[in-house]
Amino acid sequence: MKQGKKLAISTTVAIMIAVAGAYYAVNIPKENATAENITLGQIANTIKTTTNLKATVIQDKINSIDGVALTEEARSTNSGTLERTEETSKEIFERGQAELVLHRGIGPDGNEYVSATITNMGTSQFYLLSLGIAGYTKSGISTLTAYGVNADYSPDVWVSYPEPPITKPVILKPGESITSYINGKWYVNEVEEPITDFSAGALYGYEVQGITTDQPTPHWSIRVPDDSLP
Amino acid sequence: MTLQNTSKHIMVAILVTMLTSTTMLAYLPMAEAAKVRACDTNASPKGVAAASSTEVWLANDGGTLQKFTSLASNCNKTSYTVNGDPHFIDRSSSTKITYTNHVSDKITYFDPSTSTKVDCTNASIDGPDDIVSYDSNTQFSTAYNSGKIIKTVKGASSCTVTAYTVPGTSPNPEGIDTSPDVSGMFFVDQNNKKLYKIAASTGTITLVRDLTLDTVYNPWFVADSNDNGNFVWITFRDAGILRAYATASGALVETSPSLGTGNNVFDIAVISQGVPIVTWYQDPKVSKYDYGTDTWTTHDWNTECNGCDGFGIDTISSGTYYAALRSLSGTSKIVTGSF
Repeated sequence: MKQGKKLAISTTVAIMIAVAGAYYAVNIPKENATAENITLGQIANTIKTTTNLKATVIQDKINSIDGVALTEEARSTNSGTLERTEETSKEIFERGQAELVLHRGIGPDGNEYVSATITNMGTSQFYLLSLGIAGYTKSGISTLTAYGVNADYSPDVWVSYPEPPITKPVILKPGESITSYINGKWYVNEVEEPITDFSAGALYGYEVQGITTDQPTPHWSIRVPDDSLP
Repeated sequence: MTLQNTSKHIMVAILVTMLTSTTMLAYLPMAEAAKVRACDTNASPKGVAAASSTEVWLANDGGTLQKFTSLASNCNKTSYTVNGDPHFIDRSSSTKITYTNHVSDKITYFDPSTSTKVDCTNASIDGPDDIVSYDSNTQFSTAYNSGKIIKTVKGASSCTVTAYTVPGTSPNPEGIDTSPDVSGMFFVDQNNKKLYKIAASTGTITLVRDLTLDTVYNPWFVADSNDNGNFVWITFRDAGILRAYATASGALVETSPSLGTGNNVFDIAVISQGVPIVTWYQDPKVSKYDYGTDTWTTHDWNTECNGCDGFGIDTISSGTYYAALRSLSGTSKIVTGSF
Protein backbone atom coordinates (compact mmCIF):
# COMPACT_ATOMS: atom_id res chain seq x y z
CA MET A 1 0.00 0.00 0.00
CA LYS A 2 2.77 2.38 0.95
CA GLN A 3 4.73 1.34 -2.09
CA GLY A 4 1.59 1.83 -4.18
CA LYS A 5 1.12 5.35 -2.86
CA LYS A 6 4.76 6.12 -3.47
CA LEU A 7 4.46 4.80 -6.99
CA ALA A 8 1.27 6.74 -7.54
CA ILE A 9 2.81 9.95 -6.21
CA SER A 10 6.03 9.53 -8.11
CA THR A 11 4.15 8.60 -11.26
CA THR A 12 1.84 11.58 -10.81
CA VAL A 13 4.83 13.85 -10.37
CA ALA A 14 6.41 12.30 -13.43
CA ILE A 15 3.21 12.90 -15.38
CA MET A 16 3.04 16.49 -14.19
CA ILE A 17 6.62 16.99 -15.25
CA ALA A 18 5.89 15.24 -18.54
CA VAL A 19 2.79 17.35 -19.07
CA ALA A 20 4.64 20.53 -18.14
CA GLY A 21 7.49 19.50 -20.41
CA ALA A 22 5.10 18.65 -23.21
CA TYR A 23 3.26 21.94 -22.71
CA TYR A 24 6.57 23.73 -22.80
CA ALA A 25 7.72 21.76 -25.80
CA VAL A 26 4.55 22.61 -27.66
CA ASN A 27 4.44 26.25 -26.73
CA ILE A 28 8.03 27.37 -26.52
CA PRO A 29 8.82 27.12 -30.22
CA LYS A 30 5.70 29.13 -30.98
CA GLU A 31 6.69 31.80 -28.46
CA ASN A 32 10.20 31.82 -29.81
CA ALA A 33 8.91 32.10 -33.33
CA THR A 34 6.76 35.04 -32.31
CA ALA A 35 9.67 36.71 -30.59
CA GLU A 36 11.77 36.15 -33.66
CA ASN A 37 9.06 37.59 -35.84
CA ILE A 38 8.89 40.68 -33.72
CA THR A 39 12.67 40.87 -33.84
CA LEU A 40 12.66 41.19 -37.62
CA GLY A 41 10.13 43.98 -37.36
CA GLN A 42 12.19 45.61 -34.65
CA ILE A 43 15.33 45.30 -36.72
CA ALA A 44 13.59 46.87 -39.69
CA ASN A 45 12.22 49.62 -37.48
CA THR A 46 15.51 50.18 -35.72
CA ILE A 47 17.75 50.38 -38.76
CA LYS A 48 16.71 53.78 -39.99
CA THR A 49 19.93 54.76 -41.67
CA THR A 50 22.48 53.12 -43.90
CA THR A 51 26.14 53.79 -44.54
CA ASN A 52 26.29 54.80 -48.17
CA LEU A 53 29.79 55.60 -49.31
CA LYS A 54 31.51 57.00 -52.34
CA ALA A 55 34.02 54.45 -53.59
CA THR A 56 37.35 55.35 -55.11
CA VAL A 57 37.88 54.35 -58.75
CA ILE A 58 41.04 53.14 -60.46
CA GLN A 59 40.87 52.44 -64.21
CA ASP A 60 42.76 49.16 -63.97
CA LYS A 61 43.26 46.00 -61.96
CA ILE A 62 45.03 46.44 -58.68
CA ASN A 63 46.96 44.20 -56.29
CA SER A 64 47.42 46.66 -53.46
CA ILE A 65 46.06 49.93 -52.10
CA ASP A 66 48.13 52.40 -50.07
CA GLY A 67 50.80 49.72 -49.80
CA VAL A 68 48.35 47.21 -48.37
CA ALA A 69 48.43 43.89 -50.23
CA LEU A 70 45.05 42.62 -51.37
CA THR A 71 43.97 39.01 -51.32
CA GLU A 72 41.44 37.61 -53.74
CA GLU A 73 38.32 36.54 -51.87
CA ALA A 74 35.96 35.54 -54.66
CA ARG A 75 35.63 35.58 -58.44
CA SER A 76 32.63 35.32 -60.76
CA THR A 77 32.44 35.02 -64.53
CA ASN A 78 29.40 35.65 -66.70
CA SER A 79 28.87 33.27 -69.58
CA GLY A 80 25.70 31.44 -70.55
CA THR A 81 23.39 33.90 -68.86
CA LEU A 82 24.03 36.33 -71.67
CA GLU A 83 22.01 34.48 -74.29
CA ARG A 84 19.26 37.02 -74.48
CA THR A 85 19.25 38.47 -78.01
CA GLU A 86 18.51 37.21 -81.49
CA GLU A 87 22.17 36.71 -82.18
CA THR A 88 23.92 33.42 -81.71
CA SER A 89 24.87 32.40 -78.24
CA LYS A 90 28.53 32.05 -79.21
CA GLU A 91 28.74 35.68 -80.33
CA ILE A 92 26.95 36.80 -77.23
CA PHE A 93 29.23 34.78 -75.06
CA GLU A 94 32.28 36.25 -76.68
CA ARG A 95 30.97 39.79 -76.68
CA GLY A 96 29.45 40.00 -73.25
CA GLN A 97 31.70 37.93 -71.08
CA ALA A 98 32.77 39.67 -67.89
CA GLU A 99 34.70 38.77 -64.78
CA LEU A 100 34.22 40.35 -61.38
CA VAL A 101 36.78 39.84 -58.61
CA LEU A 102 36.51 40.81 -54.95
CA HIS A 103 39.73 41.54 -53.05
CA ARG A 104 40.29 42.36 -49.39
CA GLY A 105 43.19 43.54 -47.27
CA ILE A 106 43.79 44.82 -43.77
CA GLY A 107 45.76 48.02 -43.21
CA PRO A 108 48.20 48.61 -40.32
CA ASP A 109 45.48 50.55 -38.51
CA GLY A 110 43.17 47.53 -38.70
CA ASN A 111 40.94 49.12 -41.32
CA GLU A 112 39.52 47.03 -44.14
CA TYR A 113 40.32 47.56 -47.80
CA VAL A 114 37.67 46.06 -50.08
CA SER A 115 37.91 46.27 -53.85
CA ALA A 116 35.83 45.10 -56.79
CA THR A 117 37.40 44.77 -60.24
CA ILE A 118 35.41 44.08 -63.39
CA THR A 119 37.20 42.99 -66.56
CA ASN A 120 35.86 42.70 -70.09
CA MET A 121 36.73 39.12 -70.98
CA GLY A 122 34.82 39.19 -74.29
CA THR A 123 35.71 40.20 -77.81
CA SER A 124 33.99 43.56 -78.10
CA GLN A 125 33.45 46.56 -75.89
CA PHE A 126 30.65 46.77 -73.41
CA TYR A 127 29.13 49.55 -71.37
CA LEU A 128 29.51 49.35 -67.62
CA LEU A 129 26.48 50.95 -66.00
CA SER A 130 27.23 50.35 -62.34
CA LEU A 131 29.92 48.91 -60.11
CA GLY A 132 29.24 48.78 -56.38
CA ILE A 133 30.19 47.09 -53.12
CA ALA A 134 27.89 46.04 -50.26
CA GLY A 135 28.77 45.04 -46.70
CA TYR A 136 26.90 42.52 -44.55
CA THR A 137 26.90 41.38 -40.95
CA LYS A 138 27.21 37.69 -40.10
CA SER A 139 23.44 37.52 -39.70
CA GLY A 140 22.98 38.81 -43.24
CA ILE A 141 22.00 42.40 -42.52
CA SER A 142 23.34 44.84 -45.06
CA THR A 143 23.50 48.53 -44.35
CA LEU A 144 26.65 49.43 -46.29
CA THR A 145 26.78 50.29 -49.98
CA ALA A 146 29.40 52.09 -52.02
CA TYR A 147 29.53 52.95 -55.72
CA GLY A 148 32.44 53.83 -57.95
CA VAL A 149 30.28 53.87 -61.09
CA ASN A 150 26.58 54.39 -61.52
CA ALA A 151 25.18 55.68 -64.79
CA ASP A 152 21.68 55.88 -63.35
CA TYR A 153 22.68 58.22 -60.54
CA SER A 154 20.70 61.41 -60.08
CA PRO A 155 20.62 63.38 -56.84
CA ASP A 156 16.83 63.65 -56.93
CA VAL A 157 16.37 59.88 -57.03
CA TRP A 158 19.43 58.69 -55.10
CA VAL A 159 18.56 60.91 -52.18
CA SER A 160 20.35 58.95 -49.47
CA TYR A 161 23.36 58.02 -51.61
CA PRO A 162 26.42 60.17 -52.32
CA GLU A 163 27.29 60.93 -55.93
CA PRO A 164 29.64 58.24 -57.25
CA PRO A 165 32.90 59.39 -58.87
CA ILE A 166 31.63 58.23 -62.28
CA THR A 167 27.99 58.78 -63.27
CA LYS A 168 28.16 57.90 -66.97
CA PRO A 169 28.51 54.52 -68.66
CA VAL A 170 32.11 53.37 -68.79
CA ILE A 171 33.24 51.78 -72.06
CA LEU A 172 35.39 48.76 -71.39
CA LYS A 173 37.27 47.34 -74.37
CA PRO A 174 38.24 43.68 -74.42
CA GLY A 175 40.82 43.01 -71.75
CA GLU A 176 40.24 46.32 -69.93
CA SER A 177 39.42 46.53 -66.23
CA ILE A 178 38.13 49.06 -63.74
CA THR A 179 38.25 48.86 -59.94
CA SER A 180 36.22 50.44 -57.14
CA TYR A 181 37.39 50.25 -53.56
CA ILE A 182 36.52 51.38 -50.05
CA ASN A 183 38.56 51.68 -46.90
CA GLY A 184 37.35 51.73 -43.29
CA LYS A 185 35.84 49.75 -40.47
CA TRP A 186 32.09 49.46 -40.16
CA TYR A 187 29.67 48.43 -37.46
CA VAL A 188 25.88 48.21 -37.39
CA ASN A 189 25.15 49.75 -34.01
CA GLU A 190 21.46 48.91 -34.02
CA VAL A 191 22.14 45.17 -33.99
CA GLU A 192 25.60 45.38 -32.40
CA GLU A 193 27.27 43.50 -35.22
CA PRO A 194 30.35 44.40 -37.26
CA ILE A 195 30.25 44.28 -41.04
CA THR A 196 32.39 41.31 -41.89
CA ASP A 197 31.23 40.08 -45.31
CA PHE A 198 31.25 41.90 -48.62
CA SER A 199 29.83 41.49 -52.09
CA ALA A 200 30.17 43.42 -55.31
CA GLY A 201 27.73 43.83 -58.13
CA ALA A 202 27.91 45.28 -61.62
CA LEU A 203 25.38 46.01 -64.33
CA TYR A 204 26.34 46.29 -67.98
CA GLY A 205 25.08 46.03 -71.55
CA TYR A 206 26.28 46.31 -75.12
CA GLU A 207 24.30 49.28 -76.30
CA VAL A 208 23.77 52.53 -74.53
CA GLN A 209 23.24 54.65 -77.62
CA GLY A 210 19.92 54.25 -79.38
CA ILE A 211 17.95 52.76 -76.52
CA THR A 212 14.24 53.11 -77.03
CA THR A 213 11.47 52.36 -74.62
CA ASP A 214 9.88 50.08 -77.24
CA GLN A 215 12.90 47.81 -77.34
CA PRO A 216 14.76 47.94 -74.07
CA THR A 217 18.37 46.90 -74.25
CA PRO A 218 18.94 43.90 -72.03
CA HIS A 219 21.12 44.49 -69.05
CA TRP A 220 23.21 41.84 -67.47
CA SER A 221 24.33 41.72 -63.93
CA ILE A 222 27.26 39.97 -62.36
CA ARG A 223 27.84 39.52 -58.66
CA VAL A 224 30.61 38.24 -56.51
CA PRO A 225 30.39 35.98 -54.55
CA ASP A 226 28.42 34.18 -57.25
CA ASP A 227 24.87 33.50 -56.05
CA SER A 228 23.65 31.83 -59.24
CA LEU A 229 22.20 28.38 -58.96
CA PRO A 230 24.25 25.46 -60.30
CA MET B 1 -0.30 -6.30 -4.37
CA THR B 2 -3.64 -5.95 -6.02
CA LEU B 3 -3.91 -2.30 -5.09
CA GLN B 4 -0.36 -1.73 -6.23
CA ASN B 5 -1.13 -3.38 -9.59
CA THR B 6 -4.34 -1.36 -9.87
CA SER B 7 -2.43 1.83 -9.16
CA LYS B 8 0.15 0.87 -11.74
CA HIS B 9 -2.54 0.20 -14.33
CA ILE B 10 -4.30 3.48 -13.56
CA MET B 11 -1.04 5.37 -13.72
CA VAL B 12 -0.03 3.70 -16.95
CA ALA B 13 -3.46 4.47 -18.36
CA ILE B 14 -3.15 8.11 -17.30
CA LEU B 15 0.36 8.29 -18.70
CA VAL B 16 -0.76 6.85 -22.02
CA THR B 17 -3.69 9.25 -22.09
CA MET B 18 -1.47 12.19 -21.28
CA LEU B 19 1.12 11.19 -23.84
CA THR B 20 -1.58 10.72 -26.45
CA SER B 21 -3.09 14.08 -25.58
CA THR B 22 0.31 15.66 -25.65
CA THR B 23 1.04 14.14 -29.02
CA MET B 24 -2.29 15.37 -30.34
CA LEU B 25 -1.64 18.78 -28.82
CA ALA B 26 1.72 18.90 -30.48
CA TYR B 27 0.13 18.31 -33.86
CA LEU B 28 -2.77 20.72 -33.38
CA PRO B 29 -0.98 23.78 -34.74
CA MET B 30 -0.15 21.84 -37.90
CA ALA B 31 -3.77 20.79 -38.27
CA GLU B 32 -4.77 24.46 -38.36
CA ALA B 33 -2.68 25.04 -41.46
CA ALA B 34 -4.50 23.21 -44.19
CA LYS B 35 -5.57 23.15 -47.77
CA VAL B 36 -9.30 23.83 -47.88
CA ARG B 37 -10.75 23.82 -51.38
CA ALA B 38 -9.95 23.84 -55.10
CA CYS B 39 -12.54 25.20 -57.51
CA ASP B 40 -12.66 25.18 -61.31
CA THR B 41 -12.04 28.46 -63.09
CA ASN B 42 -12.18 29.74 -66.63
CA ALA B 43 -9.04 29.19 -68.65
CA SER B 44 -5.80 30.94 -67.81
CA PRO B 45 -6.43 32.51 -64.41
CA LYS B 46 -3.86 35.10 -63.39
CA GLY B 47 -4.42 37.76 -60.75
CA VAL B 48 -6.44 37.28 -57.57
CA ALA B 49 -8.04 39.92 -55.33
CA ALA B 50 -9.70 38.91 -52.08
CA ALA B 51 -11.93 41.12 -49.97
CA SER B 52 -13.28 38.29 -47.83
CA SER B 53 -14.14 34.64 -48.21
CA THR B 54 -17.41 35.77 -49.82
CA GLU B 55 -15.82 38.04 -52.40
CA VAL B 56 -12.76 36.72 -54.18
CA TRP B 57 -12.04 38.04 -57.67
CA LEU B 58 -10.10 36.25 -60.34
CA ALA B 59 -8.76 37.72 -63.58
CA ASN B 60 -8.64 35.26 -66.50
CA ASP B 61 -6.61 36.48 -69.44
CA GLY B 62 -9.06 34.95 -71.91
CA GLY B 63 -11.33 37.90 -71.17
CA THR B 64 -13.37 37.08 -68.09
CA LEU B 65 -13.55 38.00 -64.44
CA GLN B 66 -14.95 35.56 -61.89
CA LYS B 67 -16.29 36.33 -58.45
CA PHE B 68 -16.28 33.43 -55.96
CA THR B 69 -18.87 34.07 -53.30
CA SER B 70 -18.41 31.36 -50.69
CA LEU B 71 -15.03 29.73 -51.04
CA ALA B 72 -15.03 28.74 -47.37
CA SER B 73 -17.82 26.27 -48.07
CA ASN B 74 -18.35 25.79 -51.81
CA CYS B 75 -17.37 26.84 -55.32
CA ASN B 76 -20.25 29.18 -56.09
CA LYS B 77 -19.22 31.83 -58.58
CA THR B 78 -20.39 34.46 -61.03
CA SER B 79 -18.60 35.01 -64.31
CA TYR B 80 -18.36 38.30 -66.19
CA THR B 81 -17.22 38.57 -69.78
CA VAL B 82 -15.10 41.70 -70.07
CA ASN B 83 -12.91 40.81 -73.12
CA GLY B 84 -9.36 42.12 -73.29
CA ASP B 85 -6.79 40.14 -71.33
CA PRO B 86 -7.30 40.65 -67.59
CA HIS B 87 -3.94 40.18 -65.92
CA PHE B 88 -3.50 41.44 -62.34
CA ILE B 89 -6.50 42.67 -60.40
CA ASP B 90 -7.40 44.70 -57.34
CA ARG B 91 -10.65 45.40 -55.57
CA SER B 92 -11.13 48.71 -53.79
CA SER B 93 -14.89 48.41 -53.27
CA SER B 94 -17.75 46.13 -54.21
CA THR B 95 -18.39 48.32 -57.26
CA LYS B 96 -14.80 49.11 -58.19
CA ILE B 97 -12.77 46.22 -59.53
CA THR B 98 -9.62 47.31 -61.36
CA TYR B 99 -7.40 45.18 -63.56
CA THR B 100 -4.58 45.50 -66.04
CA ASN B 101 -4.81 44.23 -69.61
CA HIS B 102 -1.21 43.23 -70.19
CA VAL B 103 -1.31 42.68 -73.95
CA SER B 104 -4.11 45.02 -74.94
CA ASP B 105 -2.53 47.88 -72.97
CA LYS B 106 -5.45 49.05 -70.89
CA ILE B 107 -6.30 49.50 -67.25
CA THR B 108 -9.97 48.83 -66.71
CA TYR B 109 -12.45 49.66 -63.97
CA PHE B 110 -15.33 47.22 -63.73
CA ASP B 111 -18.55 47.69 -61.76
CA PRO B 112 -20.20 44.30 -61.26
CA SER B 113 -23.43 45.85 -60.01
CA THR B 114 -24.08 47.27 -63.48
CA SER B 115 -21.60 45.19 -65.49
CA THR B 116 -20.10 48.38 -66.88
CA LYS B 117 -16.47 49.07 -67.72
CA VAL B 118 -14.36 52.18 -67.93
CA ASP B 119 -11.16 51.68 -69.90
CA CYS B 120 -8.08 53.77 -69.23
CA THR B 121 -5.84 54.09 -72.28
CA ASN B 122 -2.72 56.15 -72.80
CA ALA B 123 0.52 55.80 -74.76
CA SER B 124 2.31 55.21 -71.47
CA ILE B 125 0.09 52.24 -70.61
CA ASP B 126 2.30 49.77 -72.46
CA GLY B 127 2.47 46.27 -71.01
CA PRO B 128 0.64 47.07 -67.76
CA ASP B 129 1.34 44.39 -65.21
CA ASP B 130 0.83 44.57 -61.46
CA ILE B 131 -1.80 46.85 -59.91
CA VAL B 132 -2.61 48.06 -56.41
CA SER B 133 -5.00 50.52 -54.82
CA TYR B 134 -3.42 53.32 -52.84
CA ASP B 135 -6.91 54.29 -51.64
CA SER B 136 -10.37 53.55 -52.89
CA ASN B 137 -10.11 56.23 -55.59
CA THR B 138 -6.51 55.88 -56.75
CA GLN B 139 -4.85 52.89 -58.35
CA PHE B 140 -1.20 52.49 -59.32
CA SER B 141 0.10 50.05 -61.95
CA THR B 142 3.45 49.12 -63.38
CA ALA B 143 3.77 49.58 -67.16
CA TYR B 144 6.53 47.10 -67.92
CA ASN B 145 7.28 48.05 -71.52
CA SER B 146 7.06 51.82 -71.24
CA GLY B 147 8.97 51.99 -67.97
CA LYS B 148 6.27 54.03 -66.27
CA ILE B 149 4.26 53.91 -63.08
CA ILE B 150 0.66 54.66 -63.96
CA LYS B 151 -1.76 56.41 -61.63
CA THR B 152 -5.42 56.07 -62.58
CA VAL B 153 -8.48 57.72 -61.08
CA LYS B 154 -11.88 56.60 -62.26
CA GLY B 155 -14.44 59.16 -63.37
CA ALA B 156 -18.08 58.63 -64.31
CA SER B 157 -17.32 57.35 -67.78
CA SER B 158 -13.62 58.00 -68.24
CA CYS B 159 -10.50 57.98 -66.16
CA THR B 160 -7.61 60.29 -65.44
CA VAL B 161 -4.20 58.85 -66.23
CA THR B 162 -0.92 60.16 -64.86
CA ALA B 163 2.35 58.53 -65.91
CA TYR B 164 5.54 58.74 -63.85
CA THR B 165 8.82 57.84 -65.52
CA VAL B 166 10.89 55.27 -63.68
CA PRO B 167 14.51 56.48 -63.47
CA GLY B 168 17.41 54.65 -65.04
CA THR B 169 18.25 53.08 -68.36
CA SER B 170 15.37 51.18 -70.03
CA PRO B 171 13.51 50.36 -66.81
CA ASN B 172 10.96 47.55 -66.65
CA PRO B 173 8.81 48.08 -63.55
CA GLU B 174 7.18 44.85 -62.36
CA GLY B 175 5.72 44.26 -58.86
CA ILE B 176 4.12 47.08 -56.84
CA ASP B 177 2.53 47.27 -53.40
CA THR B 178 1.18 50.00 -51.16
CA SER B 179 3.10 50.87 -48.02
CA PRO B 180 1.79 53.17 -45.30
CA ASP B 181 5.41 53.57 -44.18
CA VAL B 182 6.21 55.75 -47.17
CA SER B 183 2.74 57.15 -47.94
CA GLY B 184 2.97 55.51 -51.29
CA MET B 185 4.17 52.35 -52.95
CA PHE B 186 7.23 50.21 -53.33
CA PHE B 187 8.03 48.73 -56.74
CA VAL B 188 10.91 47.00 -58.49
CA ASP B 189 12.62 47.68 -61.80
CA GLN B 190 13.49 44.31 -63.24
CA ASN B 191 15.91 45.46 -65.93
CA ASN B 192 18.08 47.53 -63.61
CA LYS B 193 17.36 45.44 -60.49
CA LYS B 194 16.33 48.33 -58.28
CA LEU B 195 13.85 48.76 -55.43
CA TYR B 196 12.12 52.14 -55.53
CA LYS B 197 9.43 53.94 -53.60
CA ILE B 198 6.96 56.38 -55.13
CA ALA B 199 5.08 59.00 -53.15
CA ALA B 200 1.38 58.73 -53.88
CA SER B 201 0.69 62.46 -53.65
CA THR B 202 3.55 63.75 -55.80
CA GLY B 203 4.73 60.78 -57.85
CA THR B 204 8.28 61.42 -56.65
CA ILE B 205 10.35 58.29 -57.16
CA THR B 206 13.30 57.57 -54.85
CA LEU B 207 15.83 54.76 -54.90
CA VAL B 208 15.62 52.44 -51.90
CA ARG B 209 18.21 49.78 -52.76
CA ASP B 210 20.24 48.63 -55.75
CA LEU B 211 19.56 44.89 -55.76
CA THR B 212 22.51 44.03 -58.03
CA LEU B 213 24.66 44.12 -54.91
CA ASP B 214 22.61 41.32 -53.35
CA THR B 215 21.91 39.00 -56.28
CA VAL B 216 22.13 38.41 -60.02
CA TYR B 217 18.49 37.35 -60.12
CA ASN B 218 15.59 39.49 -61.26
CA PRO B 219 13.18 40.84 -58.68
CA TRP B 220 9.54 40.11 -59.44
CA PHE B 221 6.85 40.95 -56.92
CA VAL B 222 6.65 43.08 -53.81
CA ALA B 223 4.60 42.88 -50.60
CA ASP B 224 4.66 45.37 -47.75
CA SER B 225 4.62 43.97 -44.23
CA ASN B 226 1.47 45.96 -43.51
CA ASP B 227 2.35 47.61 -40.21
CA ASN B 228 3.81 44.41 -38.81
CA GLY B 229 7.25 45.98 -38.80
CA ASN B 230 8.57 48.33 -41.40
CA PHE B 231 9.88 46.02 -44.06
CA VAL B 232 9.00 45.05 -47.59
CA TRP B 233 9.38 41.63 -49.20
CA ILE B 234 10.62 40.96 -52.73
CA THR B 235 10.38 37.65 -54.60
CA PHE B 236 13.37 36.57 -56.66
CA ARG B 237 11.63 34.03 -58.86
CA ASP B 238 14.48 32.09 -60.40
CA ALA B 239 16.49 31.96 -57.20
CA GLY B 240 13.51 30.63 -55.25
CA ILE B 241 14.09 33.13 -52.46
CA LEU B 242 12.59 36.11 -50.69
CA ARG B 243 14.37 39.11 -49.27
CA ALA B 244 13.11 41.73 -46.84
CA TYR B 245 14.31 45.33 -46.87
CA ALA B 246 13.73 47.93 -44.17
CA THR B 247 11.36 50.54 -45.49
CA ALA B 248 13.01 53.42 -43.66
CA SER B 249 16.60 52.79 -44.67
CA GLY B 250 16.59 50.25 -47.50
CA ALA B 251 18.84 47.95 -45.50
CA LEU B 252 18.66 44.26 -46.30
CA VAL B 253 17.33 42.63 -43.13
CA GLU B 254 16.30 39.10 -44.11
CA THR B 255 17.00 36.47 -46.77
CA SER B 256 15.06 33.23 -46.97
CA PRO B 257 16.59 29.86 -47.76
CA SER B 258 16.11 28.92 -51.41
CA LEU B 259 13.29 26.62 -52.37
CA GLY B 260 15.74 25.33 -54.96
CA THR B 261 16.31 25.22 -58.68
CA GLY B 262 13.08 25.44 -60.61
CA ASN B 263 11.02 26.17 -57.51
CA ASN B 264 10.05 29.56 -58.74
CA VAL B 265 8.86 31.88 -56.00
CA PHE B 266 6.48 34.20 -57.81
CA ASP B 267 3.55 36.32 -56.59
CA ILE B 268 3.45 37.25 -52.91
CA ALA B 269 1.02 38.31 -50.20
CA VAL B 270 1.44 38.88 -46.47
CA ILE B 271 -0.49 37.33 -43.59
CA SER B 272 -0.31 38.20 -39.89
CA GLN B 273 3.00 39.42 -38.43
CA GLY B 274 4.24 40.27 -41.90
CA VAL B 275 4.73 36.60 -42.75
CA PRO B 276 4.92 36.17 -46.53
CA ILE B 277 3.16 33.54 -48.60
CA VAL B 278 3.97 32.91 -52.24
CA THR B 279 2.88 30.98 -55.30
CA TRP B 280 5.32 28.83 -57.22
CA TYR B 281 5.59 29.70 -60.90
CA GLN B 282 6.17 26.23 -62.28
CA ASP B 283 4.31 24.05 -59.79
CA PRO B 284 0.84 24.01 -58.21
CA LYS B 285 2.17 24.98 -54.81
CA VAL B 286 1.73 27.69 -52.22
CA SER B 287 4.35 28.27 -49.53
CA LYS B 288 4.66 30.25 -46.35
CA TYR B 289 8.02 31.52 -45.14
CA ASP B 290 8.36 31.66 -41.35
CA TYR B 291 11.19 34.12 -40.91
CA GLY B 292 11.36 33.40 -37.19
CA THR B 293 12.53 29.86 -37.84
CA ASP B 294 13.85 30.29 -41.40
CA THR B 295 11.56 27.54 -42.63
CA TRP B 296 9.18 27.09 -45.51
CA THR B 297 5.81 25.33 -45.20
CA THR B 298 4.26 24.21 -48.47
CA HIS B 299 0.79 23.24 -49.62
CA ASP B 300 1.05 20.97 -52.65
CA TRP B 301 -2.06 21.17 -54.88
CA ASN B 302 -0.87 18.75 -57.54
CA THR B 303 -3.61 16.22 -56.70
CA GLU B 304 -6.28 18.85 -57.29
CA CYS B 305 -4.55 20.57 -60.23
CA ASN B 306 -2.20 18.10 -61.85
CA GLY B 307 0.72 19.73 -63.62
CA CYS B 308 -0.59 23.25 -63.04
CA ASP B 309 1.50 26.39 -62.61
CA GLY B 310 1.00 28.99 -59.92
CA PHE B 311 0.27 32.63 -60.62
CA GLY B 312 -1.52 35.27 -58.52
CA ILE B 313 -2.12 35.10 -54.79
CA ASP B 314 -4.02 37.22 -52.28
CA THR B 315 -4.93 36.82 -48.65
CA ILE B 316 -7.19 38.05 -45.92
CA SER B 317 -5.67 38.91 -42.61
CA SER B 318 -6.37 35.66 -40.79
CA GLY B 319 -3.93 33.71 -42.93
CA THR B 320 -6.44 32.37 -45.41
CA TYR B 321 -5.10 32.59 -48.95
CA TYR B 322 -6.53 32.41 -52.45
CA ALA B 323 -4.26 31.43 -55.34
CA ALA B 324 -4.63 30.93 -59.07
CA LEU B 325 -3.30 27.70 -60.56
CA ARG B 326 -3.09 27.53 -64.35
CA SER B 327 -3.39 24.39 -66.42
CA LEU B 328 -2.31 24.25 -70.05
CA SER B 329 -4.07 20.97 -70.76
CA GLY B 330 -6.84 20.60 -68.17
CA THR B 331 -9.00 22.66 -65.88
CA SER B 332 -7.41 25.57 -64.07
CA LYS B 333 -8.25 26.18 -60.41
CA ILE B 334 -8.54 28.74 -57.73
CA VAL B 335 -7.45 27.23 -54.43
CA THR B 336 -7.92 28.35 -50.87
CA GLY B 337 -6.13 27.25 -47.73
CA SER B 338 -4.86 28.54 -44.45
CA PHE B 339 -1.44 28.73 -42.85
